[in-house]
Amino acid sequence: MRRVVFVLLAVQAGTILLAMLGELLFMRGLPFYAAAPLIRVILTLVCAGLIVRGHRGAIITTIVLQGLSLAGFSLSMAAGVLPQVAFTPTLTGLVTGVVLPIVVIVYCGHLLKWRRA
Amino acid sequence: MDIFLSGVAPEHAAALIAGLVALAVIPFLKNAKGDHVDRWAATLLGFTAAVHLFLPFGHLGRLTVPYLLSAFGFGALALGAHLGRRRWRLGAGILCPATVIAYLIWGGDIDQVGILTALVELTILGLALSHRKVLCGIATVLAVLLSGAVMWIASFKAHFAADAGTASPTVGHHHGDQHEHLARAQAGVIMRPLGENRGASSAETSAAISLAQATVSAGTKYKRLSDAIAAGYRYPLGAREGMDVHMENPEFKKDGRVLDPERPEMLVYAIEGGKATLLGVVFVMERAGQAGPAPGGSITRWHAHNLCLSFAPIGIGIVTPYGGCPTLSIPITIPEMMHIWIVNPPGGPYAEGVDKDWALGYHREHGVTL
Repeated sequence: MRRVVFVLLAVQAGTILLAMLGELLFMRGLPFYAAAPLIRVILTLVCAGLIVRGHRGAIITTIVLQGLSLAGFSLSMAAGVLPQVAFTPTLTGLVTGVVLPIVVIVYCGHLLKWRRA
Repeated sequence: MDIFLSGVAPEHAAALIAGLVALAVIPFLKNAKGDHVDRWAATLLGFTAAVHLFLPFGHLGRLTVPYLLSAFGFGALALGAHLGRRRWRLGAGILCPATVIAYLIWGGDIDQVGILTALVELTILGLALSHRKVLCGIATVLAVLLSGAVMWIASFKAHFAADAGTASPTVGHHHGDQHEHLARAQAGVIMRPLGENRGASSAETSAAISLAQATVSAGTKYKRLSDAIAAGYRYPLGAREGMDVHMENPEFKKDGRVLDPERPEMLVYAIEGGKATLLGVVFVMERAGQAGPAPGGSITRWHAHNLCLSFAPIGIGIVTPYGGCPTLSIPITIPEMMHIWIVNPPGGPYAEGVDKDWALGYHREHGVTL
């Protein structure tokens, strides 16, 4: 289970890096737009590595990070209520923005439970 | 739902449904052996096998045999993983990257089903390498990043190629099939579907020509950038120079007037070398999701953008082919808009974009000193 979480987090890190490149291109390469995504990617990968070793803090941090992803998706849905913007769900967006974080949270929850047991 | 489906090729719907059925069934099959990695691999390989098996049902062609062969290959690997035989790792380590590369080279229209399947195959690759942590981490991150980047570049190329093919107002103008929506959806552009009646009537053509002429005439008062700024137009976030600087007028965006040549919501300038050239205007709807009026039928065609809105720092990007945005940003879709070019570029006044080289040449010749 730990290795599955590791792989899922590596996939997520790749998608975040791609999104970061997209924003950098749009914002003329201004480096401070890379700060938050890079911190997130590094944190995700470090946590992924530590989760394989069963590190409790890494599991909790990962749950928080996935919670942030879900909160972002929810915020996007809520923003769609505003007249100036709309919410456009896509197949891949639902998988990477909802399904993947939920699966990681569930698995991390199991890992925490097993640690306690 | 229409917008949701705008990135999915209709002929791939059967493959998607087959894949989802496989995802729902495989985890509950009996005789499953092996660890979590094997079970995950069996499920994801089963998804991929089902998608590949049903892809030819949508469009029989030169790729039918490769699709079927890869489907059986993925099916055999799924069975192996289900039974806990470790050889699936070697097979998946070869087949997954091979099919993703083949998709990127010969896959044709990039749609959401194809992107999702590629992402699943890259996840399987990660699972196959998961017993070597460092290699797995590096290979998975790079494979997801590079594949997404190639898909994105291909989508943008298709989008700009479609732009270049957009003709000026003509009766019976035809955009070809609806595949143009697919690539554009991955490039962050949501085109209004043309529907059944793709050609414009003579009355619609006349209306489109009248609107373009009225816009050219009204646009003369904004030829000087300083006049536009005095009228309330503001620089966008980020770029203040380039061949497509979109100046926005916040007042005109909420004045309740639609398609008013005297009060366009945005002006597009080429700004470089201390000179500015007004290239065209952009009409923007006040509310997102609201369809703009189309007096010129298919000639006056509106589109929207799928963007990432960043909060820290404030900025914008484009939603990736994987449907994601950078950290601390959210995906949004902005209101429909339509360009009208007043400088008569290739493609005419209703072209969806202006070639940057052409714009630069025009700007150097006609630019007004700032």
